[in-house]
Amino acid sequence: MRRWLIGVYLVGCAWQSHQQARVWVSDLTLWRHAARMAPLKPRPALNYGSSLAQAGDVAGAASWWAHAAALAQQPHVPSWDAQRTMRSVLTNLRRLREAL
Amino acid sequence: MGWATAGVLLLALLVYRPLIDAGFVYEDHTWQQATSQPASTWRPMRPLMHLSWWVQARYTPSPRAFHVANIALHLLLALLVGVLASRLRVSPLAAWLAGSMVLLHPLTVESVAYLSARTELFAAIGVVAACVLAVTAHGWRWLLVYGALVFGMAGKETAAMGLLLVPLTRWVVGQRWEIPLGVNVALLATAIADRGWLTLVNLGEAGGMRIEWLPWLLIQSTAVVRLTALSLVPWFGGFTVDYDYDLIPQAFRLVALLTLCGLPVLAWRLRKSQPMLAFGLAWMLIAVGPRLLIQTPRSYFNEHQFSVGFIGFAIAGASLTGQAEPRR
Repeated sequence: MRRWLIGVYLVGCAWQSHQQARVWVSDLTLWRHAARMAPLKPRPALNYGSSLAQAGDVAGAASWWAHAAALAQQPHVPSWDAQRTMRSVLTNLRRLREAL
Repeated sequence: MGWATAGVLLLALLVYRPLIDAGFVYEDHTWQQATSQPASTWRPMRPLMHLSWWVQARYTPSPRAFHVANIALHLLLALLVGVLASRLRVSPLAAWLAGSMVLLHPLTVESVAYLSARTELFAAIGVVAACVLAVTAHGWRWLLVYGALVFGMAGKETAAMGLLLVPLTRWVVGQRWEIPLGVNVALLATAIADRGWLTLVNLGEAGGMRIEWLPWLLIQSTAVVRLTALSLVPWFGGFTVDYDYDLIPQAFRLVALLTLCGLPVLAWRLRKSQPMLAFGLAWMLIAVGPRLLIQTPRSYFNEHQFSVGFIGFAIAGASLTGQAEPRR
């Protein structure tokens, strides 16, 4: 009985681990998952936007960067995180404009 | 046990199959850039990490090769954890289970899947190997123990906590400590001072990221409690590269800190009645200790940074299946 329980436990762990491994396949999957898990945190939104930009989705990237900038204004976000997010958003948008 | 081991290995291959086609993500690009420069420009920290990336970038540059190497290191770590558990005289089933938990638990996925977290794998391998060797070390063989720790520290500096984990391991098997504990403490203090860790206590990783020590301690304590909960109850998800700890109310953070403060007391009280549980708790607390003080505000305590601490839980949890013989 004990060995069966151990087997069930390990299979359960393996299943969850497999789901996690799939998340780490690319920046897109990683930050899409992170943004879904932390919808009020600026960095996942920022990084998801950057991964969209790398994948060629310029409109999507700009939208997510704007979203990150809005999230950075929330009162619970530390000031250093908000400043860093805004700096990154402005830099990314400038680079995008130059590229276009 | 042979069939069970084959089954676990097959499960592990299935778990990590998606990584075979994975690319470089997140800070992997930074490592690519850093190791494409001449060796003379590398930072002095983590030379083993630099070297492994440089060698692979030169001879096996595909992301697949990098991921295969990480999976191989993870297999080695799981094997070492099983060996360590067996040296701690838990039952063969418990030793096998400890290694299997490290191999398959979702909390260890980040340190395998995220190539930049290979530093954690090196550190964990060095620390566990040192503890394995320390169980039966005497005389000149102590050089091997410290050599393993140096290997770990060459991967990541947090392996320096092995200087405390090794005496802990000797304690749990009832071995007399041959080298004065003060030597290890002095070596650890030297490592901390040399790396300038103390300057990071209230500085942050980059200018303008100053954060007071108490808010940092509260957030990191919350992170440790969350990661501990994920260690114990891994089947319902909740794993992510960037958890939003800033959303956690201050009251919860304070409870987390108080809980963390209670764990050493619990470990002390269990040291005679449940030595393996005390060992697991103490191992985790020692492993996570630096992160409570050293500030890296770009990211709070994340899953791959908990991988060494998780080993203590794996051994302690596995030991609940039974012990081979009385410890003392």
